[in-house]
Amino acid sequence: VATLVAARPAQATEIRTVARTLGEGYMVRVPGPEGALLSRRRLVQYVNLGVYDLLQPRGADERRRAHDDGQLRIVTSMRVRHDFGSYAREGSTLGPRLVGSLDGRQIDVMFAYLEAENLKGMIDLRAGRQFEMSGLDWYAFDGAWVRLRTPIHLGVEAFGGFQVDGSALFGFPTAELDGTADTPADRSRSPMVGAAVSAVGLKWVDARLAYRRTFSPLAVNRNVTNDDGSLGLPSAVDQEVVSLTVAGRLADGRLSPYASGRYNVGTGRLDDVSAGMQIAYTDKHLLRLFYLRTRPMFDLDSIFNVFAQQAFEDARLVYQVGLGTKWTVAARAQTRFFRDQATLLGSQPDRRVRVGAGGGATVNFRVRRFSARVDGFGLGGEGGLRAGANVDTRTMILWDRLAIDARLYAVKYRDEINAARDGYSVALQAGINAQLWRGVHLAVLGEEMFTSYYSQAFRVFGALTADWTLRVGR
Amino acid sequence: MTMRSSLVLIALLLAFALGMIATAGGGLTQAERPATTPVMHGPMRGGSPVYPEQDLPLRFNHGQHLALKIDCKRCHTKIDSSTQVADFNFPTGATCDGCHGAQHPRPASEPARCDMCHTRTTQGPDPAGTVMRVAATIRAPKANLSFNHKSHLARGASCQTCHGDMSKVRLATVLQLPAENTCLTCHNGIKATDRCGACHPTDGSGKVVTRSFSDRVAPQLVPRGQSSWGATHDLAFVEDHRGIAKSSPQLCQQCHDETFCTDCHAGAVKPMRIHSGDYLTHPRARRPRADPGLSVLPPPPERLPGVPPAPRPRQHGARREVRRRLAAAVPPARLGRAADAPQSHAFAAQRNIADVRELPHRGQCLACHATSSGASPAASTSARTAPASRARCAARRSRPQSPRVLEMS
Repeated sequence: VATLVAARPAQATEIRTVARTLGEGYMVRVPGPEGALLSRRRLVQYVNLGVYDLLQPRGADERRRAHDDGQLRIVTSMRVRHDFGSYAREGSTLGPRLVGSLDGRQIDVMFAYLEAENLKGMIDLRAGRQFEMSGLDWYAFDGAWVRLRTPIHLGVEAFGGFQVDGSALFGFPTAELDGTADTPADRSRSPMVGAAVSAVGLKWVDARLAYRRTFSPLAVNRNVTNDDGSLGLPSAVDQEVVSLTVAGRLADGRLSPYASGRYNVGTGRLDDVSAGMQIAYTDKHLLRLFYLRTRPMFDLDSIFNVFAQQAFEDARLVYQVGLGTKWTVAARAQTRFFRDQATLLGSQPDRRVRVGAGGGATVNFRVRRFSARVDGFGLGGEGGLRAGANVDTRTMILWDRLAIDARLYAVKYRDEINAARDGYSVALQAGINAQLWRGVHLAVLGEEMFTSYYSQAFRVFGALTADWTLRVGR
Repeated sequence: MTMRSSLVLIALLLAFALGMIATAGGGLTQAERPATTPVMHGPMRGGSPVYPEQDLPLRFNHGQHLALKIDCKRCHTKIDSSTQVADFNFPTGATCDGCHGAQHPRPASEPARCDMCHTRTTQGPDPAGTVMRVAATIRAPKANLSFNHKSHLARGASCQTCHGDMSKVRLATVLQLPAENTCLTCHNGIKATDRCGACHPTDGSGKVVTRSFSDRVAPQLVPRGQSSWGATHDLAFVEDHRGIAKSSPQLCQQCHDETFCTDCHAGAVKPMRIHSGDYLTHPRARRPRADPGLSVLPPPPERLPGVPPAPRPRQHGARREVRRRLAAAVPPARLGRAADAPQSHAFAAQRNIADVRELPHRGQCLACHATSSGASPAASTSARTAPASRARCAARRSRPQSPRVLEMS
């Protein structure tokens, strides 16, 4: 309401509201003599509100202010969850215990910020709770980010604030589970600062060099006794990272290399590397090479830094070709590397490098009112073997207002370590996706699953979405 | 369901209803969200997301007209003043009449010559004899672009700059409309802006509108091939999008807002196509490490209530007890592997320490994993006992002991 009132003076303000209600429920009967029946139901409500075009157009004949003239907007999103049935527990102590949920979180302010774009032709700004998704990390923080674009296609950025606490969505332990969830440290907000330089508006390259330092929160250490007997520990560096990202567009777009790397200054490790190359030598043919090497990043005072010795390492290859306008075929190969090492516990690895290899193929067919996608895959050498196939179909009826979804997922897996974990699962899904009105959609999906783990498993999912945009004051 | 749960349920439903009421009567609406499955490769009618399908039942030869030195603007009379794609820039019948004789309207003295230009005509009875009628006229939906002919022509662009050599073209179709690569020759970020929203329509948030508001089978605007900067939305893109998303996040942000990302990565419900079946009960090695994972299905069988714990053998010292309990939680073969291998107990511990439920107290981790050189050096994997670099040592010296570690020790 406050936003609506605030928006009233602007003559061309656009307001977008999104209300989404998701419901989910499932029942699982556990094998064994008890045959316990687990049931769970969940209700999730998203409320997004955006107030756009806060600045009026300069020209009398303009419906919307030109991009070059700059613009202000407010973007917010909130989520409320409630879990019923098994595994529910009381909500977090951070706020009123309104609802129960599986993980203690109940109300998430996902993001809420004021954004300024292209002010004075050179300044971009965001203030409030926001995400940063970049080579540095993917996390949320409360604070400000500002970028100054210079005439030489170089942007200078600065940002700072507090990382959201670990109990919130995209709080640090949530994105990278470090095993210390729900501790006082997770519920404290860590001060952080950062800076970056980036290439802006170049046809051939997009690049960014960024730095971020996070400090341990004082609130956590206030009641901790130091080694010398004093009470309270000073704040110190908790995370310190540098990232470099580059994406290029070469040979008229036929070659698109990209790479990102993150160096953890605190641990002295290059803990995240991804590099890829897309070769699109025609509009119908595509070849992609992709290498990924990453390891989790923890606060520097986390004991889990001692575990993080081996990275998750993948090399992938994808080739896709379009056959006419209806058919698309893709093949995929994947290799995962496991690098073992000797330990002082006396264990010697059989091999220094273990390789898990796999691949798959996909065929997609689509016409005016029907589409089908068939996937087949097999992955081995990762402590077992997994092979399976998926079929996804969608059929549009009733003047495209109703979509009927039918899907089949089958997978069989064999565990080389524990034979008891060998198994299979076959899941049949059927559902609808209906456009009830302009901007109002309803999706319902049910799944019956046959698996070697559960005697019986059924789940149903529903989503009702109302997505509206209206302009006020004009 | 308890009374409180019922009240909460009712409150949430009321909140939704109020939201609906508050927004009823709105104008533009957005498209559906990817709640259950990516529909990017779903049913789709022909045409492109920029240039919708046209139906031009005409007979015309541009080359023939250009050979007669007829200037483009003689037929496309309003092109100099056209400022938006919604402007009708096709020549009208009356324009053709200037050379081809009066047909629009046709004087009674003139014979009907509709089929000279129109390919779909009918002949029907008429009191004065048999006349020809046009059975279908052109259908040319406006392009989904922001474009201003007037400003481009004022900057010195010619027709050929964008539409190519028309002297070899008969009927012009969407093939003669400029492709993106043509636009990018000038819109290169230096000569003219290369911002996507400069040409592609945007919504209030500044994001490019990628799908029709109401037409569910309209082609979607997705990066393709040579114009995609490596983000071609191919059939395997969902699995591999991490690379380009990290390398060039602003590319993604031209079209997607935060909600699009959090729908899958932090959504209350995971997309079923990717997290299908009993996804969480698949062997651990196949699970992505960063996946919180607890949102769709119940915990794996070893944590289900009712499953009896492993029998406990006799205890022989703290170290053996730690190893025994770890072995109970993780198959012994995994202990011999590198501590952070996906098959190892550390992998489970990183996800959630509670997973290693056979360890009743976190301090037992320290029996093997020392936090200082004074403790057991059993494992050389400690970042604190075996510094890997000067930077790490410096960082270690600069920070205080963690309360978590103090608590555990």
